[in-house]
Amino acid sequence: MTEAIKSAVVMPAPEDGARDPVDGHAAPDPTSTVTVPVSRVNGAGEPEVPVAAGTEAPDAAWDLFGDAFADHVSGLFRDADSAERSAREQLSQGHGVDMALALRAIAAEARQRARDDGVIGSALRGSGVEVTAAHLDAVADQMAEIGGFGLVEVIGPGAETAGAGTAGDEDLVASARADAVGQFDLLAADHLMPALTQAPPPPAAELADERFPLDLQERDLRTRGLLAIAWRRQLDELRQTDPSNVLMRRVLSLAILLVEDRSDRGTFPITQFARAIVGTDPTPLHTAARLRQLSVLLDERLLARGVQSEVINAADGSSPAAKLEAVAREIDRIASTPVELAKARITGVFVTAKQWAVRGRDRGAAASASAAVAEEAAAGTGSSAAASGPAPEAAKTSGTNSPAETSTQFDPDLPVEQALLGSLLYAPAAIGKIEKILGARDFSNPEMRVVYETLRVLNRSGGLYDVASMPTEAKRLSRANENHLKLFDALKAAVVPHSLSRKDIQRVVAEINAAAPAASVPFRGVFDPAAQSRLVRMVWETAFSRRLAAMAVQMDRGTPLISPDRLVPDRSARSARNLAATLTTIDGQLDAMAAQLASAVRRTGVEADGERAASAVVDASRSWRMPDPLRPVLAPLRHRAERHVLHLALHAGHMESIPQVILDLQPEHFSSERHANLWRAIKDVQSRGEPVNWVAVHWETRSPDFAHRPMPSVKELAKLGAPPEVDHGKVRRSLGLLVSSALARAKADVQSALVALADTSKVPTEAGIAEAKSQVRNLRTQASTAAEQLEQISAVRAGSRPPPPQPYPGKPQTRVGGPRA
Amino acid sequence: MISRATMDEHIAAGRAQRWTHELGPGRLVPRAALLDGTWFVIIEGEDGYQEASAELAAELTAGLTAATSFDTLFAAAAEGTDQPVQQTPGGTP
Repeated sequence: MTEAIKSAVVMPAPEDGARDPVDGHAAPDPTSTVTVPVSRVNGAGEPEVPVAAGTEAPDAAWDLFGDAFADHVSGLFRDADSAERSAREQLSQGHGVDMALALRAIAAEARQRARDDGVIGSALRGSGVEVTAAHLDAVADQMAEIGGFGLVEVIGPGAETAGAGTAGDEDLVASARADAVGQFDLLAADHLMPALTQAPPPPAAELADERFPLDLQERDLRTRGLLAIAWRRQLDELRQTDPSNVLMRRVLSLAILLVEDRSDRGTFPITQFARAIVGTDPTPLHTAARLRQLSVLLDERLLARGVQSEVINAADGSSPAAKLEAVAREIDRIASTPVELAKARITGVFVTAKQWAVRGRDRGAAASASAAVAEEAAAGTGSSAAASGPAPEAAKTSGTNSPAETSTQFDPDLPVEQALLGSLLYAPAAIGKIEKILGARDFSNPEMRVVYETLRVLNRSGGLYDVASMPTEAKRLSRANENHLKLFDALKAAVVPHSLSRKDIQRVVAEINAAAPAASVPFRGVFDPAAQSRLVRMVWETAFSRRLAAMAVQMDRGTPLISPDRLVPDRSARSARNLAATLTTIDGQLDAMAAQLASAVRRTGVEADGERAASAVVDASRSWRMPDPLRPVLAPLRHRAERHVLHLALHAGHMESIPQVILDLQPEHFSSERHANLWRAIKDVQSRGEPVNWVAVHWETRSPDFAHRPMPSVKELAKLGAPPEVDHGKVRRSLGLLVSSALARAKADVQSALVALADTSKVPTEAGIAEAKSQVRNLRTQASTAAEQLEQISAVRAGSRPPPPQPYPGKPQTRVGGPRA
Repeated sequence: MISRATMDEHIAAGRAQRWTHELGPGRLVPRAALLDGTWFVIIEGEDGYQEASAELAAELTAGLTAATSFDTLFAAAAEGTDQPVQQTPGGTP
């Protein structure tokens, strides 16, 4: 039963137990790390003693420690026979000296920690960790005796300095000791301390009044088996439809375990069950509330069907509903009793000690970091680290929404190199492409270089899972853990030669995990391929800048490709002036008409809704606009001119010295909706003082605040990422065409409106004249502005035509085509 | 050594190609231009463009290629496709 409980409520990393962390489903893993058994002969020429096989010895030792501690807290006594059985089991799995040494080292360190003053020491003493340490020593003794190696002299029980007098291998002793100390350090700092000092979050008040969200059909209630099948079905559906709802999945898994249990109420380990939940569940009180809801649901449904109730409840005298209620009650009790809570939490940490320790800060730091990011995302600020955050139900209770998938904005404080390496660790599909353009030398320090090279080696050997492509959250976390362990092992084994110490490795890997938490993989964030590309570029750009700076190349702010004195209109300005003058005349005529009408209206009275009717007629009269896809074909010159101006703007950097005439362009100057929206995005980026380039504009358009659609595709934008041709004649023509064609479109619209207003009988005369005046005045303003723009540029050109270029010394006067991509 | 003004004229006339990609968090642009297949740069403390060393020229050429590759990579990733984007050097597509 202990194993069943653990598999259901504990969240073990599945490399050994091969279980889904939440659902407890089998998760066979054909490629899990297996250390090839190595045999060795000890110094005394005794029989070969296997050193390691299957799971690595320290990991297996941590597993044994966790199990033994859980049993002790649950009141299950492990005696000498139990130690002998464990020893034989370990030996049969190929473990030998190293395993025994690891057990000794863990026991010694546990005792040492229990002697400390402070919260952890006190809690360890209170939970009786010494008993577990004694059991580990006993197992080690038995292993030495059965295995025939002289371990007793290696590390005596209670020895604080477990390094002297080895049976021929001081390295093994030192390694075991260092592993125990280092991992206890990690456990203490990252897991034990938070577990002992933070109270479980209370459930939201409304959770107590809610009904269990999943109902049961009549046929599900006929037998226990059918009930379990129904819940399994719901669990599967939940896994597909709402994989992030860990709480509901956990509750259903527990319910299945309970309903399938055949023991009566007297022997069912309710306390053990509840303690396991409190110890490993970040939100045990939420789970209790849901279990209670499920209990109520069962009671309601079974009461309505007395016969079925008998079938289910009377089978062995125990009621699933009562069991659920009892477990929920026990969870509440343990969570509200400090001593019990501490025991449960310590058990929870120790049961998963192997995973916690090896993963370093992975889950703890990831959870806290990603929870913070989740809050950011929920608040609309977004963050690159993306969010794992609490499960939706937990998020609900803390007042946050569940995090959205794929945040598109980067946290400026994100350590870019660590985030990239973490991203590649869990989403290694990109490594093949990236390594062609990003070398190890592009990373700023040797540690990052070693990790990058190691990831490349692991990827080439096919050793890394593409975690992001896993179908369920449980799988993703499972595979992420495996990738993590592989990186850790490869670094320890120095697959790529390095001089990092074990502590350095732990620190580096922890930094990587903090920047790209495995728990946030389901939310993509830095694991998104586009984000990966951006991170790669950021790393490379920084490295490239560094190298150029080292060679003393001058680095400046970008300058615009077009200077203010190279822009020009020509006769377009005159046309615009003429149009403005004509419109002034028309405006005067309309004023006269309006004055004549005014006296007549005074006699007949003003007609209602005239203004609205006039607007409707004008809207209906708006001239036909060519669909965007047809523009490049049917109006190629205008299309190219607009594209050209946009292309220049996308390479204008901060646009500080960009000609005002370009900055004054409005989205309406562009005939294509896509171009108009692109211009809006460019202006948005520029107005924030950020440098304008196509990548920045692309991210701007993906911002939730940017609602303008349609937009050019990313491919179209990327094409504009190449440097534009800076032919000043062409620039002049493009700008002139842009302003002139915008004016022509406005003119056509006003003409259509005036014709429509004259033809219609639906609009009262006075309202028609007023609308016509409004249209004409707007157009006149637009024409005057266009004329000023064009004239201003024309005047600049007349006085500042650039001199013919001079040949430069030492080079033939031949044209170059510029760099090609 | 080529003065800044002269190089600007070469650039304006289309004989030279200025480095335009902004780099790093400061969004800085190296003062470099490719003239007739040769890289010219302004070295800190100098006033005009001088021919880049072989090492620096190789770095700049590789950098230019990489910058363009990153654009392609990013565009493909953003579109969710592995299809590379055709770049059109020296002209508006």
